[in-house]
Amino acid sequence: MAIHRVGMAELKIGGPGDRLEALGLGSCIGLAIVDKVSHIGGMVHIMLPDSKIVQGPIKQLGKYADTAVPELLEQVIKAGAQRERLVVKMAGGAEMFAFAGSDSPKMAIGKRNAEAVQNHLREHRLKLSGSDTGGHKGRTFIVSLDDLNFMIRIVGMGESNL
Amino acid sequence: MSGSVLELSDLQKDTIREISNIGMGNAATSLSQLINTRVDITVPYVKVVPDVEVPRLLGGEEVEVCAAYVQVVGDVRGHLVMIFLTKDAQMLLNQMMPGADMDIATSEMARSALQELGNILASSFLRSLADMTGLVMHSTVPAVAMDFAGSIISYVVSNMYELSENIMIVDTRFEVGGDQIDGECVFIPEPGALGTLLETLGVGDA
Repeated sequence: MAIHRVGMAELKIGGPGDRLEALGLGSCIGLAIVDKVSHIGGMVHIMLPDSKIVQGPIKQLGKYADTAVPELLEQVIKAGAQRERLVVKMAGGAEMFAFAGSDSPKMAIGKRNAEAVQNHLREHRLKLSGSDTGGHKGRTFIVSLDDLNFMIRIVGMGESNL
Repeated sequence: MSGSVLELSDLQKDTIREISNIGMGNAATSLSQLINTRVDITVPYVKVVPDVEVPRLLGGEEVEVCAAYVQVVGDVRGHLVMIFLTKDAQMLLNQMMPGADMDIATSEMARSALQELGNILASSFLRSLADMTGLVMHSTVPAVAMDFAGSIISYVVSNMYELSENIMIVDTRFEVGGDQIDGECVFIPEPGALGTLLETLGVGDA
């Protein structure tokens, strides 16, 4: 059993018995795609909604919603997952501080991230079966590929299953 | 601008370190007067960081902290975040107002006190920066959060990574009353504002 820490902009793939962890998500999104039969799965830690802001080649595909969704899908399939058995869940996308202007379209990066991920999942015909996004609290997202448990940890609120 | 990469010379880093040292020294003095306890600071750490390294401040992503966050507005735009481990912030508040109900998790007064603490640190830091440069800098009303360190820092910097592939942070550690209480203050100028600051200090193209 291996624990895969998924840091900002990273994408990790795990096998049966492994754990995928994104710690302390703020406005970022932890997106997990898991094959419920083979227990092969992956997680990506998305920071920003759109890679179009980058000039030239994109070095970190996991960083942007538009590049992370297809890349994660491709990598779990390549690792042996089957498309019709995929479970897709995500967490994060919070605005950590409430201040004047924090909900303006330019600032509300958490919300923009969550919406972008949803759009690109739809584009790739992936159905989201669990999601905990928004609000003003940070989240830790842990997927255990052993028993297919999707766990969220929030400061002051403990742990819950997604 | 978009996708640009920030590079700083040693002279530019030294200059930023020096003005931050003076500014943070003044902030520490204000804090010291408020709680009537000795406050020391480390020499500010100036670093240009790519996105993946940023949340690794204060001992890790999942460390529970109290943070006060202000935006810097005026000639220089940026962000200031003051972070204390939750247990340390609790000790600090107890020292600030002995005998009052200062339970961070429940007391409204504790939240206000944290806000005030953030306000005092931010305004004394910015005042000395403004005095040294002649630039106008103000802080917004502090917003307070109790949460994972990683969640807080990554939120603050995410918007900036839409503008630049890396950013400069100035990280200063506070020690209150010997080494009982550890805090951290992070100053992050917006990529464009950093140029203004460096030019005013005479090291624009060093």
